Amino acid sequence: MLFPTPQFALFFFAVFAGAWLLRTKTEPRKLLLLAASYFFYGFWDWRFMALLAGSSLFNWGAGLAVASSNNETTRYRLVVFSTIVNLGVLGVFKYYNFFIDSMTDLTLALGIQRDMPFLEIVLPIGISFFTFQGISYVVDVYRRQMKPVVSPIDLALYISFFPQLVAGPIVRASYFLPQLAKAPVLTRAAVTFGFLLILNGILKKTVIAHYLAVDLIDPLFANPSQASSLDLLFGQYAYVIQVYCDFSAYSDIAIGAAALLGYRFRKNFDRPFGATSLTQLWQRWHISLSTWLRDYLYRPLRGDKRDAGWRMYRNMFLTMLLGGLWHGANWTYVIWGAILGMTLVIERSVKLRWHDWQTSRARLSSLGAAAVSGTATPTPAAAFFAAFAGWFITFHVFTLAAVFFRSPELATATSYFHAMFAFQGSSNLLTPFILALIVGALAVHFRPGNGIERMAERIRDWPALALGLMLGGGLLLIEFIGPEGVSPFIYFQF
Amino acid sequence: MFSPRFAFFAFLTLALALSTPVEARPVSVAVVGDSLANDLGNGMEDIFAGKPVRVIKQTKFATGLVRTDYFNWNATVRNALQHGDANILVVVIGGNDHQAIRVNGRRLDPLSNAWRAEYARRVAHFMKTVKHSRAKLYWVGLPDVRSPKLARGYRAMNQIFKREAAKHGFAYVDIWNKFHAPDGAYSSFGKSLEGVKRRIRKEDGMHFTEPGRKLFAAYVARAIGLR
Repeated sequence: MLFPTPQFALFFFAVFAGAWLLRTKTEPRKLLLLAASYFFYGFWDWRFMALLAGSSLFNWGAGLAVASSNNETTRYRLVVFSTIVNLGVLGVFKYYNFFIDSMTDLTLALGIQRDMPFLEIVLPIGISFFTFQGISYVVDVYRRQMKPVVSPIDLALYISFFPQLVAGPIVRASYFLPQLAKAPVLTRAAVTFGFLLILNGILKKTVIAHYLAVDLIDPLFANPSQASSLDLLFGQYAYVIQVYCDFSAYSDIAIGAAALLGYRFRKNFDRPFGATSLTQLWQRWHISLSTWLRDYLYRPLRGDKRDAGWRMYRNMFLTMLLGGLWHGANWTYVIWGAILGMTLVIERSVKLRWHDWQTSRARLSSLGAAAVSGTATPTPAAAFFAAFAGWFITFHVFTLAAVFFRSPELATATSYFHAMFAFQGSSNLLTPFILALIVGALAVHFRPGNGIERMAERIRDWPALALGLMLGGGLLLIEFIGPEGVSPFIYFQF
Repeated sequence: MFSPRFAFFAFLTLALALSTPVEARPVSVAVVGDSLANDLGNGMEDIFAGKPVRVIKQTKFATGLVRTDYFNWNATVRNALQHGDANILVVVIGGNDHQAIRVNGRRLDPLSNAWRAEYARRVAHFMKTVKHSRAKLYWVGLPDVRSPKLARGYRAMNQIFKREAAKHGFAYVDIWNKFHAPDGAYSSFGKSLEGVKRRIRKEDGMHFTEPGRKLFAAYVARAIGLR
């Protein structure tokens, strides 16, 4: 069931009421939340409840096995084995047919006609997310960053907790499991914060993301060669805003729903389009995935040595490439990851060389200690220009790469770029409303952060009736300006 | 009067005229409808690339004949027909129509008797609008899909399309089981035009991949006499 629907509202109301009635009874409360989470997942497709349960049990057992051994070689082998099993399950469901299709392309290119063994596999919803959660749990136990959970219920609830089950955020066990052990407290602050986040998410999903998709992006990507270059130029801006609004909306609703149940999740997006470098962008976009890739892929690749040479660049590139592949079984995602990996490497390389050049230049001049350390203060104009240039390049690298992310095939992306740079046609899709959505949605990224948190703090002492009217009024307004019916969230397909 | 020289030159002229290929009259195929029509249109563009067949796509995702408040196909196609020059018109629509219809504040549940009657009325109205075109008219039925619930709906809707097509001068093209596995079940894979097994349906269990679109287009092109 989709988040911003009456069915989910009814489901959530029932779970909310039951969970708070059981607030002093920890174990029954956990069982209720676990049952609700499996009901939520089974509503999508009951056939995969066994997969979810199996994944949870396997990782629970793997955590106990790793922790029970004092032999480092045994512990290492167990964590590698559990990671291989987790990735193997993900690989079969998500990448098997992609691999076979790619082999078919290769054999056809070599002039060989052979039927390959495809399998009719349905991709279980949320598998990329709950697999990564399982891996992170076992690795954290191996690294002695947390003790293994003794109760399989706790681990199963951590992996299947319905607010974040199908599209994240990827929550760390060390952050969430201690919260399960304590009796939750529902505060006014949590309630206002939760409701504001949910309202914000519904607005982003049902209004901004929807209209950008239906009125501009979908028609452009359906027939890019027929579109005007101006529409295509704004289409790529609109698409990254659509993905941001769609995905961050899900995160907002997930975090808000968890807050209403008494649990804190970390934020998953933090004004990414205000970033002035790619490094900063990845600290603000899909934070739970970026940090997961940093901690469970990049750091193991790097090892204990912090190389600054080609190994560092290789590890960065590989991390981004595999991050791209995680999003889907298509070469377009691989290319997306490769572009962002390559540009991140270039950015890091340029920054290091710039720093070295500044340092060596300052040593040769009489500018003094501040310049030698590279901390000389630039003029306001220079600082603004540097920030603007950084923002401009970062934003356009991201939007151009996103054309591959959106394209169902490579040919669509090449057709899109070909038409965009052909300076053809006159705009017929870019309306003032769409332009206002793009500019408005982008402008929000330049405001100070934690806007929802600050607003929640300001209104949390309002009378309950006023808060209720505000929430109800907000929902009615969104219902009025939004469309009827809700399309699935983009990140469900991952 | 008919000297041998005259006869010779007359014969030569006739021979030259008969041996010069008559330039094929270009065919224009307008493909009208939703995202499945877009798949068909894209597939036709691929299979007719370099050939004298012009494909005109008039498609809009997430539309149909049920949600006329969201998008009005009758008004859109009427305008398009006034300016179009297609000599073949192919309609693929209905993929988004398996949902409730609201009529005068009343909600008609999908596939109920009242829903079927209202949907048939809307299909007939659309067909009458399109009939104003001078093109040869084809209505392509919906393909089988992975979701059993949606497949039941589409099968019922195809019956409506077929019945109304016969009444309103459309040739009905049935592609329901064209993409099935050998055992007759839905399959995401099938023999592509290259003759090897490929993924022909996308992960959503409905739309077509690039090999699938070409296959879809090839079936329809054969049905409408273009291959």
